[in-house]
Amino acid sequence: MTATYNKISAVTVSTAGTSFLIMDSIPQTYTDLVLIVNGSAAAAMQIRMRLNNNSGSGYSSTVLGGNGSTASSTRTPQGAVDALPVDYFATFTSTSGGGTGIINLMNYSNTTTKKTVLFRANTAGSGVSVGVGLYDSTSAITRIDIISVGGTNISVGSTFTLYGIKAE
Amino acid sequence: MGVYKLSAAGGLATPRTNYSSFLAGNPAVEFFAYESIATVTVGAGGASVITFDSIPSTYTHLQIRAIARRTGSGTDTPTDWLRINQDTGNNYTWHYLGGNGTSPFAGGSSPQNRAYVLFTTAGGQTANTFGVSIIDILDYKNTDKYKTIRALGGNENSDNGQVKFYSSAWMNTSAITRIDLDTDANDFAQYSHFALYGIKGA
Repeated sequence: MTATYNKISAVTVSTAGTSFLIMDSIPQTYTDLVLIVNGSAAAAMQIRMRLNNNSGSGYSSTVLGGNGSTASSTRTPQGAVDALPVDYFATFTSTSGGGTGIINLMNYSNTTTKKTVLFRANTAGSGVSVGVGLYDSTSAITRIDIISVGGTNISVGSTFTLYGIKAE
Repeated sequence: MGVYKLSAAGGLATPRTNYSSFLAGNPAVEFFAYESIATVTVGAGGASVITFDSIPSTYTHLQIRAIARRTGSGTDTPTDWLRINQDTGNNYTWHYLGGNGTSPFAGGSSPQNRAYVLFTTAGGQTANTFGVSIIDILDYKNTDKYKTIRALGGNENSDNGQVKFYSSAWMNTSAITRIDLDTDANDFAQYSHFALYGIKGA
């Protein structure tokens, strides 16, 4: 029996930076991808996920979040960003213990459906959020990059681990 | 002393192969905690209901991962439902917290005859977009407790979206052997995909 839930790639930041290739040439043999994020940054910032190296306007998301005193919901429409926001709050700060995220790319290898992403992010120091995002393309996902917003570096030691889930 | 694997012909006079491992050249058996149980992909004719039946009792928890779209021309943001063991009694409760991009919202229910935890995209929304759901059913075979369901999901179209958390209970101590997924209106559209996974405990 082959493994259903399999680690595909793991990236540990060794030099702080604003953009990291998580994986290129992603195998198309799984059903869903799960990206586990655990990291921090030099200052509060948002991270975004770019798919297939596409910096066009086909990303949108709807997010629900709470900061310890207020719940809120925001939407990022298509055309506003060139990558998919995968957390709403500044979840990666070096003084708040960093943040974690679980990003699900559902049916990523399907070439008929547009790609919907389900994600949650948590940082004890700032808040918790959950969101759904759309990559407005029927192309299979073959590449994932993580980028920071505003030029803030993602810190050394941050990890990005990619898993594949295979439905039989 | 090595491990001897006798040939198919058998007998001490026939050739044998020596191994240093008890595997004797065979692959090691691997046991996995997260396994695929069943998968349904909706075909061209659509599907009125998705059924996972005869669910094995060898796991501790279940997870359904789904992308779903309705047929028809509706443009709402529906949540559809599941039913357990064909129980049509008012034995399901649920609560949710959601966001629609403008404001958060919350709600709950008194006991009803289905659990609304499945996110679908209406047929009139942006073409080729699908609602997504990750539904966890905890301790599904335990006959000492009611069953707890938690779900995270949403739908995102080119000009609107919604994300929700759900918590639900099936107020029955029976082990779960069947799950049906259905819509309040229309059918599940082609390319909708439902995968059932089992998670083993230690």
